[in-house]
Amino acid sequence: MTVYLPIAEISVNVFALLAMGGVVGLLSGLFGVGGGFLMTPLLIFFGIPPIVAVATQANQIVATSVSGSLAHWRRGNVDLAMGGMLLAGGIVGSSGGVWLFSYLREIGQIDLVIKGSFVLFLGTIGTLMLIESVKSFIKRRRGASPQKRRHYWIHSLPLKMKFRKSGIYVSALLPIAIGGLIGFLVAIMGIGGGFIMVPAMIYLLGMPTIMVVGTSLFQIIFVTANVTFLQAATNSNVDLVLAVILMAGGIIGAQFGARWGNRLNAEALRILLSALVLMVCVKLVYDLVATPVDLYTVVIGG
Amino acid sequence: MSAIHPTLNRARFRVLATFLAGLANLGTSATQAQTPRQPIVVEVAQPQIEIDIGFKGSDLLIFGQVEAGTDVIVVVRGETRTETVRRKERFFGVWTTGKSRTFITVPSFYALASSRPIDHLFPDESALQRYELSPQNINFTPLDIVPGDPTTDIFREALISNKSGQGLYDDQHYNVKFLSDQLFRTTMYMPANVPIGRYTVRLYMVRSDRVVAQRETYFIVDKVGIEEKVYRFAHEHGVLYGLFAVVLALLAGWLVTLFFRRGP
Repeated sequence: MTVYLPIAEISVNVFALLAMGGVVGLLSGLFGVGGGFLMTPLLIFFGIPPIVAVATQANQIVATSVSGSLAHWRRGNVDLAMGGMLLAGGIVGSSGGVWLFSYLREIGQIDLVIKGSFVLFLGTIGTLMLIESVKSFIKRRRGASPQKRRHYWIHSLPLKMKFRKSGIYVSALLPIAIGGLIGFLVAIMGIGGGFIMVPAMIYLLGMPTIMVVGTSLFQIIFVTANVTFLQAATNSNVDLVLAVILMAGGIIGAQFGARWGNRLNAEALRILLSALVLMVCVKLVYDLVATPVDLYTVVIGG
Repeated sequence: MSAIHPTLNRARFRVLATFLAGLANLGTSATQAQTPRQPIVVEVAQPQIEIDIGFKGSDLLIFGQVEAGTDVIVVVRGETRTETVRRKERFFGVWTTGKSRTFITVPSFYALASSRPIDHLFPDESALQRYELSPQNINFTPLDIVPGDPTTDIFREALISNKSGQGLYDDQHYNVKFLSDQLFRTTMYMPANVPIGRYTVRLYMVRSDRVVAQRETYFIVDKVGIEEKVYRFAHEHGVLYGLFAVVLALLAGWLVTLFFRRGP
């Protein structure tokens, strides 16, 4: 069954899209990550214009992060003070990101910047994940050794604040800066950013692991909502029909993923995921470097 | 197409029947006005092509009447608009967007059908250029006129080949069929990506190397249904659309938690 996407302006097979949303949702359920970092490039491979893929994906992440953070909220695992600081930075960063997005679109370089950002991002994440998961795979066989907490220069920044729920005392500038940087990426790439946010919260802020996922998801709701709103208002590139199809697929996939996650070998799966991330990265690099079939593109307007 | 849209086809025949009946009347009134000539007309079977959510392209039936012993050229054109052609250039191995040229008179769609190949109808190129017959002869006006700049021609060629690649420019049809020595019909394919707007259908009647008569009609291509509502909502009320998209996603996420909480 084909459906015409009103904003992307192409006809697509609705079952193929549902399946894609489902598989990415399944992966995010299995690994506890948002999946936006895989979904946006897959949508681009599917033929959705990159600018529509990014904005629509942000819209879809609003839905998945609401259901995710509600579950954490009920268990009391959301640090509102910390979430608020991250969010303050996130709103500024993501608004700046949408502004830059519009500018790059005007000068015709946005597709390149989106794809280039994904190459850098997926390349780094995929490599780190692969090394990490192979290491822990080996470590588990030898018996793990406990990790030490280190002291960085960032812990001596001014404007220190007490975050009671997380039981930490750090400079407010730190979460604002982290939120800002990741918010910027949310706008340009259509990802939730949990993938970078979670390690940053653990290693840079020193937050307890139990608070990290809920708090990260909490601020993702508002940052992606801000991006969706600004993109729709300035670039008219949020495709509601596409968003609904992706939400349906993603939500169902994530629920099954979360259930199956406990029964499967996590390390082996993580190696598979990193291989998948690297494959998507390689395909993006190929598309950027290979000589295009048509060297010319045509856009409406001057 | 006829197998997919039997109702549409029936509608077309009804129009054709009305048209033929009308022709008979016109013929009599013409004789009364002491003009022995038959009227020259062109008409489309569907005055409106509707792009709905399942739109996969559509055939457009065009028919009409000319004088006996003449040739027929039919040109369908979309609305004229400004378009920019951008060239990709290698930058440290990566393809980036480089030079561009803007043309201010680009038809969004162009299709030509004729009873014989058009270069057989005229002795030289001048008529083809004057009447803009075939995409190569469309008068694309560059925004910044650089006289004698050869790159403008390269960009013009690139524009034509890009549009042809998308199925939006086409001149390879010699399928104007005569049903009698005066009555003709032809079909043109409007692809799934056909731009919305007002389309003109121009008939050129050709006799002995010259265009001796022209007639014009039009039809509308528009989006309908959910498709149309979403498109207009997004483009005309961006702020509200953005709020709606956010609220919809919040609700969807919340409902899912309710639903799956009850599960095992």
